Amino acid sequence: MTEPNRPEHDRQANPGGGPGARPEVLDRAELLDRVGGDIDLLRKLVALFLADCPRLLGEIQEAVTRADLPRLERAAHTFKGAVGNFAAPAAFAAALQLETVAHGGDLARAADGYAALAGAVARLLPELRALAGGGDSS
Amino acid sequence: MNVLIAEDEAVSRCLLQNHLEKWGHHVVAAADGAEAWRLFEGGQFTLVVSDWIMPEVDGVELIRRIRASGRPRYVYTILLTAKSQKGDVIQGMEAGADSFLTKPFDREELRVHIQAGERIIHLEHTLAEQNRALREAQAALIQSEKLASLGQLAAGVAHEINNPVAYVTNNLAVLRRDVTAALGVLDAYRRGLDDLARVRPDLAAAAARLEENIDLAYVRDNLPRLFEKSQGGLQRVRDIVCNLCNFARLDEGESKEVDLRSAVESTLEIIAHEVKARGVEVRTDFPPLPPIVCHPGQVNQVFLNILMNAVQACAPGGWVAVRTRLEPGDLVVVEVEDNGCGIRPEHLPHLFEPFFTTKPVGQGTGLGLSVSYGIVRDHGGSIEVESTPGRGSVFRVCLPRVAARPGKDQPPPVRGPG
Repeated sequence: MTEPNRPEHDRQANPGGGPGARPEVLDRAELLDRVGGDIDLLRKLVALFLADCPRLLGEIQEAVTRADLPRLERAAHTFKGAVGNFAAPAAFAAALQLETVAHGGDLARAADGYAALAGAVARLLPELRALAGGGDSS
Repeated sequence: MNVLIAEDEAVSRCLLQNHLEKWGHHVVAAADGAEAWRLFEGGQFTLVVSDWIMPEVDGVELIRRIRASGRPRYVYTILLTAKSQKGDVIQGMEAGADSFLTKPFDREELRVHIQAGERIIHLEHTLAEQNRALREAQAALIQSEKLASLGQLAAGVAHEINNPVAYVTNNLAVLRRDVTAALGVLDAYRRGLDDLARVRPDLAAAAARLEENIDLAYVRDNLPRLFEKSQGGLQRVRDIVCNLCNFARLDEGESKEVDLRSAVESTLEIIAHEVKARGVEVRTDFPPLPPIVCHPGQVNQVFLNILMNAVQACAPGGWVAVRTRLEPGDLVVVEVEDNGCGIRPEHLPHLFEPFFTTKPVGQGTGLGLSVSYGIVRDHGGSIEVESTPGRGSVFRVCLPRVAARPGKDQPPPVRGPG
């Protein structure tokens, strides 16, 4: 088996991937390692996530609005599963927090949890777009 | 391996599929548990990677159904989920999951879990193969035991029959000679019948009555035919006994000079009932051959296997042609050709492997040709095969007139070529 590209190498070879990549928003090294340095695969995953993200977030928002905790728990769980693939600690933690809040039946904190998640995702999306769209696979 | 993925979340599904395909697996991905179950029912998967939480049919239910499906081959299942508490692991494993992987999964961790699955599948496969081979070896053993005791029985019966047949044959010859002589005496007396009628009319009348009672004229006519038929019948009994002895050859552990033509003829006699039952015509072309040195019992077994296969390959009305000839280099060749179903090209390389059979389970042990191969090889000869599916096959047994290395007191080797 060929050794996956080392993250350091990718960073050097691919310096124009976007400004200010904060690892708590997106850990690029970790993400590139996960896809084995396969930029094409990464683009595909990001495209899938970007396409699915509004629906997933909408589902969470609606569950919060309707105070439907089981539905919120399930939606947050699914979102966590999706975002978990991207080495995005902040968004992942926010989704986990929301799932835990819903599981614990703490409706009061659900709206805050959703706001935190939406914020984390808003910070994550440009990073992902930059990495996948601007990333030069050569 | 054929891998089925069940994952309702698109990014994870794509990533999983990508990794597994990169590792050389054939992957089918389902977007939920219900779809996965449909795909599983219609496919042949050896490994299933499933998410736990999915709408309708969840991962645990999917695995429960897979375990209840009673597939003949083992299916290795991996539950892939964000759940990670101890209770969840127990519930998943109780349902039949083989291993557990938490999301977001680590690529290397997934790889070694898949590898573990491959190991188990491979072991299960090997075990199933060994079980099959064991069962067949057992069947072959029973079969060869049966053949051996049949041979012993045949030899015993042959011996018991030979004695009375010998003295009946002898007595019949004496009886024929004596009756013929007695008839001569009777003829001599009958020439004086007219004189007797004059001197002792009462005696002549008594004799005439007796003649009439037994229809002497018919008896005189019929007696030779009666003797001939009886002698023919005895000859037939002697032939049958001789064939049985020839075939069983239990009294001959050593190699000796054998006329291959009579060996093949004996074998054809043994399978005559099978030939008749299947409506197969046997054509023979046996020019005189010099005797060869071989183990007669073993060589008969080779012809039995090959002739039986040829007959069984034929459809009703088919034919089997048996030819013998002498080839340069002091090789004696026995060729068995049939116009039966033929052998598929992909089966040809396995023909002489032990346990290889195309007959339905329980009908062939897959040992006939491998045993034959070993016997012929030990006689310094060879077996060649040509076959066209749908047209028929030719088996050619070549034996040197004097075996290069006649395996003495060796069990027939059960090994294929190579």
